[in-house]
Amino acid sequence: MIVAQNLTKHYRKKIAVEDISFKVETGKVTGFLGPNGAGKSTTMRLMLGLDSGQGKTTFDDKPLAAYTQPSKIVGILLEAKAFHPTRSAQNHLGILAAAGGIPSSRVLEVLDIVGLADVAKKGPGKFSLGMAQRLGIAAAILGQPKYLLLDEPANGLDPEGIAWLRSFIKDYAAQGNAVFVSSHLLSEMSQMADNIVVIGKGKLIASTSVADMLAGNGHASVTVRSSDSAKLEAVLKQQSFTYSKQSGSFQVNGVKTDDIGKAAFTAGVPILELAGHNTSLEEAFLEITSGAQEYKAHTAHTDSKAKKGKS
Amino acid sequence: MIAQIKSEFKKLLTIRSTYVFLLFCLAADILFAFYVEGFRVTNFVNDPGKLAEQSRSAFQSLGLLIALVGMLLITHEYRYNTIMYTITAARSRAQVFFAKFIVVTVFTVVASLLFAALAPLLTIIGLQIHGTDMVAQSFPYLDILWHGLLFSWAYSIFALIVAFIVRSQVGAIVSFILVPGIGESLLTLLLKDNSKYLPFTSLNQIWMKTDTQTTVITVLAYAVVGSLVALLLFQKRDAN
Repeated sequence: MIVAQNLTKHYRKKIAVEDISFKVETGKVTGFLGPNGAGKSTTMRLMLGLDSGQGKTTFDDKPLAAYTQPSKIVGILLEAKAFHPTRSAQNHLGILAAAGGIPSSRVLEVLDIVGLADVAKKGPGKFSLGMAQRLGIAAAILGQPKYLLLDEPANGLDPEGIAWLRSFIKDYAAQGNAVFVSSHLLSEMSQMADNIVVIGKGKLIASTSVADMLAGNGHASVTVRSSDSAKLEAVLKQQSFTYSKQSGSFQVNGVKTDDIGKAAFTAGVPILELAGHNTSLEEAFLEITSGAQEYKAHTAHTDSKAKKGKS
Repeated sequence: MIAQIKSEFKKLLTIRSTYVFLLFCLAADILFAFYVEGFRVTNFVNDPGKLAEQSRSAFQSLGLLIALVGMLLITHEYRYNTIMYTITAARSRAQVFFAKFIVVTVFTVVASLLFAALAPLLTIIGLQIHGTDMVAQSFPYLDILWHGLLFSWAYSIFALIVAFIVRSQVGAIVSFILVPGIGESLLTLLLKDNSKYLPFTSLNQIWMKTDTQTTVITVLAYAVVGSLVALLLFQKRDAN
């Protein structure tokens, strides 16, 4: 397990990251979300000791510096195009393999895994962003590390690449490893992450499971219908649920189907329909990060109003 | 540490610029030692120190190019952000620093010895082709060797220190060329006789026959103190 404790980083008077603590469990994919400028990359760099700051991060109870071969513990992808443009992809990985004490035979293996075997001898300077990301992923998995830290790995990937990445990350975690991945693609994140860490303006907003985040969001609701609407409404009132009437059914907010099912069963109310409507991760994310956005764009509507105001 | 040294050697040898700079060195040796001093000019065939001078010139004139190769070993890491891989693969930043220090030292010694040995050979070949014989030559091997190696090594270490402190590729190269050229020239006007204690001025005095001990101590002091400052900054600063 990765345990990050009290990570803090200030740039003069500006807070980049403040007192962030969370855990990344093995066997799971942990998504790392936050608006632009929230401090995601800084947090990852602090975890790896690339930036100076306060707090500590342990990997299986030990700091990264305590391992003789750190590349076999953590694989990283913090920036897509982190390579010399004229050094071949194979040589680039060969250098990383040598530094990590990894056999050079592994280089061709990982190039094959990420689908870059055909361009192994080419300089990556002319690689597309998607190919560069694949090379970055190859570098990350070179030492078959237990932990992967990936910063926006899906950037620039085509739909096929994204689908490959999703299944790769899920499989990697399922093998008893842990993947900590930041992404702006919330729909992707909802499909692959088990847990979520959300930060905003450098501070921790939430560290929870995706299921709990969606269920705990105010927009999650349950539709329930009974042949005895009056009795069902009485049960909902009795349980102090927040609900609204809709043609022949009730929409109950902020509860799970289980809660309503149990209450109706206990009261002997016949149920004809019981359906949960979870909110999307995007809605949940926008709700919990509202007010924590460092950079906020104006909508077209407010922009045109501003222009009118000026003229 | 061995893994880091292996990796640094691979970095040095898998990059085009290393070979471009080595080709420049070879071209300079061919142009000056073979053509200008050997094949074309035969005025100095009666000089018994001609070949020794070729060797000294090679150490002195190619030191900058060899030092720049070492400098790129550091600045490329920051320019292309591979420094994050380098640091996270090692147990400590000190390991990375010393690995680069060792690789730059080995490269400098090998490359400068190669071109310093090649220069007198090329002059002999040039003269032979021209059909001219030289007078018997005196070649003080040991004297040239230790002066030349100290000069080349210190020059490369100064470049490494500048690279670790400045980090930006353009900034480091410009500083490395401007400081000795303009900076120390201006300081010499102020310091007068004491200018011999300036880093690059003392480095050039290695070739003078006077006050050798002071010169060597000054150069080594700059190399040691500069390296410690560079190491400290490398350990404390953010890796970007």
